[in-house]
Amino acid sequence: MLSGRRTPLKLLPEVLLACHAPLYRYARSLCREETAAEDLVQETFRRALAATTKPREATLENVRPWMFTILRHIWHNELRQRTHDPLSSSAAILFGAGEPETPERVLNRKMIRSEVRHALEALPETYREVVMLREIESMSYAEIASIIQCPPGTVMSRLARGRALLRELLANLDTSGTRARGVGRG
Amino acid sequence: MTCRDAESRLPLYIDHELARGEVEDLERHLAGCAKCHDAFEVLRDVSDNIRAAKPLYDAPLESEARVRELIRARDRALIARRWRLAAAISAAFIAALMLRPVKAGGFPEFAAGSHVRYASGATPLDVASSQPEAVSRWLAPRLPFHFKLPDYINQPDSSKKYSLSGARLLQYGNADVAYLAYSMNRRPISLLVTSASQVKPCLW
Repeated sequence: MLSGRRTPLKLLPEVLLACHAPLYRYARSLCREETAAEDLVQETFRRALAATTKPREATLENVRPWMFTILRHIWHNELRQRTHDPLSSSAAILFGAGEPETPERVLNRKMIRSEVRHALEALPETYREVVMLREIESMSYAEIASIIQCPPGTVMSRLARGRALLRELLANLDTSGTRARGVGRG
Repeated sequence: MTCRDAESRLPLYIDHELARGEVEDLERHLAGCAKCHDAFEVLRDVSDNIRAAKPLYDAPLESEARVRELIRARDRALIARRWRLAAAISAAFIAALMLRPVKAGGFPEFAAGSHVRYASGATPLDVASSQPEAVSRWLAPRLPFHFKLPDYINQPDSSKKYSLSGARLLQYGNADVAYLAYSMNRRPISLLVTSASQVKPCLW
């Protein structure tokens, strides 16, 4: 993925822009705050544009994981400590308490999205990011491993644990009869 | 394939990380094992429901606009840098042309050196005279080519801007050449006279 290339390879605007939405989603999943995610994405692009070491080829397949790595590095090393963490544990999860609910809404895709988002945000970051990268960004184990800098086996185990936690979170919702009947099994 | 093997491969199967042969083995097992098939469905449902929530977050348009501006700023900086580089290369090329080492031993260098030496007083004239005829008389028998210094008549409405100071015989290679010294506003002017057979005309 990364080459150690030091010649000034020009990152094409279309390739960079194609990374924006995936990067924002990843940033949101890490920060869990819109403003912090936007700041993180902007900083990522700033660093990428100024970087002296760039991917060997300016293709989306090369540039995307490289930019995810930059974003993750900034988050872990510079921003995470400064950002307010609204959900410190899965115990803090609140699935739309007080909101009216109907079976129709349960089937609504928008609601599913909201429930999944809340459930994902309730996961510990270690599991949240691998679930996000695999399920939402459709990355391979190898790509995820290169971004989070760990062996593919670790990606697998974190993914399995993350999915199991998500299943519990979503199943609880289901048994409590609040919402998200379309989420999880049973 | 045992149930334990199948269970360990289910996440890989869902994530399309299994090789084709392994996929076929697992699918055969799932077709014949209700327990493992149930486990597969549980896993698949979780995964499907998460994937159904795509894209999960919508990237704000303002954020994308800011990124576009960052890219435009980068492009502008790149163009400016290229222009600066082109200007620097051009300047260096011109400087190299102007400062390139002159071919040692060439007639122009000999002429320039003679002028500098005369102007600094290092080489006195052999004959000091403001009369072209007198100078021609002294030089002509000493040169291997015909030599007669013309005497330009002053125009009625203007006086000569320069005057002859004298001459000296110099050696260039194995041949004698005439060095003529003039003066204009107290500044020395040098003129070297030789034959085309001795010195080939050149641009530099």
